[in-house]
Amino acid sequence: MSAARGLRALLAILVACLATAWPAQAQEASQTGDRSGLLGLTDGAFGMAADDSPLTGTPPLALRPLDPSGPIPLQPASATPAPLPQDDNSFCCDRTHFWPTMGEVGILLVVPWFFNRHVSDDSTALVTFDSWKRNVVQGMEWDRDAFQTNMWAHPYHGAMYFNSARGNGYDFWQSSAFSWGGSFLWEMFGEANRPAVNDWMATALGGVALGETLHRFSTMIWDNSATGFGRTMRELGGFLVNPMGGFNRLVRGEWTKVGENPDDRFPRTSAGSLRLGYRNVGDGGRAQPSQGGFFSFDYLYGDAFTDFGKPFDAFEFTAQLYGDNEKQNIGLAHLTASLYGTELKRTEKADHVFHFAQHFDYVNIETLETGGSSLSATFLSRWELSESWNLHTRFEPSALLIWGVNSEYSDFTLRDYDFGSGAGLRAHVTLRNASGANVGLSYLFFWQHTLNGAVGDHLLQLGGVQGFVPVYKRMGLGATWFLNVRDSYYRDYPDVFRRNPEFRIFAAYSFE
Amino acid sequence: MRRGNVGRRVAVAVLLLAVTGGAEEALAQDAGNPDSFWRASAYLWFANIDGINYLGDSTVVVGDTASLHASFAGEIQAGRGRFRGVARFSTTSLANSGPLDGPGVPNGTEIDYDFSWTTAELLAAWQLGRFQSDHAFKLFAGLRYVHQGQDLSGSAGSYSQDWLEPVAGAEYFVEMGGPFWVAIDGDLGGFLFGSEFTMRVGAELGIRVAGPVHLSLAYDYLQTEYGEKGAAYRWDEGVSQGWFFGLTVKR
Repeated sequence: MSAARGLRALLAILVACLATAWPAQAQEASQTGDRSGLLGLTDGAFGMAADDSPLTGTPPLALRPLDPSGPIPLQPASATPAPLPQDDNSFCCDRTHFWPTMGEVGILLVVPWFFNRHVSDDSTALVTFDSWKRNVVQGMEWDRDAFQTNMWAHPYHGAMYFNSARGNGYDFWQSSAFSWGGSFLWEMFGEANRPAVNDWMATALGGVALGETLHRFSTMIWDNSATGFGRTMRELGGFLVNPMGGFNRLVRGEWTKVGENPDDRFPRTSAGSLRLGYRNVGDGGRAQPSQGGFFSFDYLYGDAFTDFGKPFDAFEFTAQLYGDNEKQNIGLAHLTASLYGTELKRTEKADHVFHFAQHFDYVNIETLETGGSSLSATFLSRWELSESWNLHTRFEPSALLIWGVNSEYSDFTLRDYDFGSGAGLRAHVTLRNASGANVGLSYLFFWQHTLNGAVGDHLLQLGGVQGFVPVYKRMGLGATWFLNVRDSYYRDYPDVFRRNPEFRIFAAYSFE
Repeated sequence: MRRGNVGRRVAVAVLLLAVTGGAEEALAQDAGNPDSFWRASAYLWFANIDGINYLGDSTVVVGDTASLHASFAGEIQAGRGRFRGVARFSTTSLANSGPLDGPGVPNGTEIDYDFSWTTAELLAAWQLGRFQSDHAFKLFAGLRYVHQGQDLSGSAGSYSQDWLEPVAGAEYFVEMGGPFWVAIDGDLGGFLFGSEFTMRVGAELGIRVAGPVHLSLAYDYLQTEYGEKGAAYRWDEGVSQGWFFGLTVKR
């Protein structure tokens, strides 16, 4: 159940990379048209989709030329187009490679086990034939790991399984099977304690979501036509973001091979922002409110109104780092990605589209632990009110497949949160100006029925308002106010009601 | 014929079928078919059950830590285009002894029980995305009928409970290349209509062995919470799970 314990160091590197090494720009992308996120980028304590992002659906942003002085060396100095070699300039993969994939999945099973067994002397690594037999016979239960381990580290481990296959020529759906299979094998045979159904689901579902995201990011970073120092840095950067993909490139000799880039290396449109600001969380009955700085990385990949081709052709990702004022540095991460999309109706003044979307949510702050994997039916609309103003709406009924919410009474599970499943609803309305200014309202509701922990139901609600104004070139200022509400109705304990208002102000730097 | 010979011949036959099947693609029957489609599967299920059975003022802890129990499950699908009807059936039982608690029952008392759990589902499925690809993503919804029976030894009596509940979920099927395919599915149910709540997740690895014939290995986990606190019959933290060996014929 501590499947990714041995990978925490790598995880830390990855997160640092996510926050700082963003990525090759869409220099090959044709940046046309208005665009809008599936979710809208996030703030607020459980931060689903506060549409306050300066980048979300801001038309001028998508049309701006690239800024070569951006924070990341996106195009290495030595990126002069190199002559292609006469032969062997092809990159993986014209076909799938089953045995290399299985070998890498095997490595991902053995290395964490070896680390747990021989480095950290973890008793759960003392697997025997008897423990295997017991696991096969007794089956799955719910485990006791910390929220961060179960809801963040395990999905990252699942992403490694996923990208073992993705880097060996398997497509999204096929690679998903390896995420499920790798997680299942670990649970059954990688640890001496009983397999955990929550681990299986969180690792597989979260692994698919994070895995494809990291695959797309690393594909943008890698540049097969680059040479020299810049090429090396790109290979290393891509490796940090997507270790299994980078490993596959290394063993295939693609770190130094020069050739063409894949046609789908970049999305047609993309946009990102870095936000730095101050947040103040009010007291809602907990021990002490928190305040302090935050840093947010937000990225919008593709255009949800036009990109319907393959899974994750349009997705949004955000990760937020907090200082010492919070219990975890990585306090929040959200991903919303289209699995299928289609037009519903297009008129001269309005577009309506539908996406079947996958979500990955992780909120781990003093006032709230919640998150998991969910699926939603996402209805997006935008109306052109005038030449300068658009109105965007989003309505997302969701199914929470594996979910967790902090609980006052789950000590007997040795956790501080309850596991369960349930349903949700996310709704947003945003008014946007062509200058990039926007103001919006958001409301989110999640119901979790507890399947393991203090039996009962958790009702989470988040409602708020957000605004943003561009100030100078790519810089802008914004503010958000949200009220986070948790009503927990327990079968065997007194009910608990929490109210935590949260206010933020921030400065944002936008990039494509 | 000695048993060893039988086992060897079965193994050789399965190997030959696998090799034969390996020369062909799995075909995209499940992966989106605009024409008519049907599939019939029979499963030998090696099951385990865990849960706490509240019977009035008494409770019986159900479970077996030592062995799996041979059970049976089956599934039939038929449809055309994006729409498909699905019927599922599974039944398992567990005869064991477990802790009994209740008024006047001395601590440490154990009782022999025979707990049975049968489900039947009727579902309508709808496929998203395009046809003729290597995968299919389906959403489904329908009704699940559940019957549970509890026979306690001696004069403790027999109990049973039936209910009908809604269920909704998703499944994706993907061909892995060659004769192999994988199906992942899960659903949520109950929602206070029938049981309080149910959650199920399962995965199946299949191989086409010859023509329309497929063999598969699957794992399935179903958790059910039935009955409010104080109800005459409750099934709490109830889980049926285990390994399925399947034989599927599909067109």
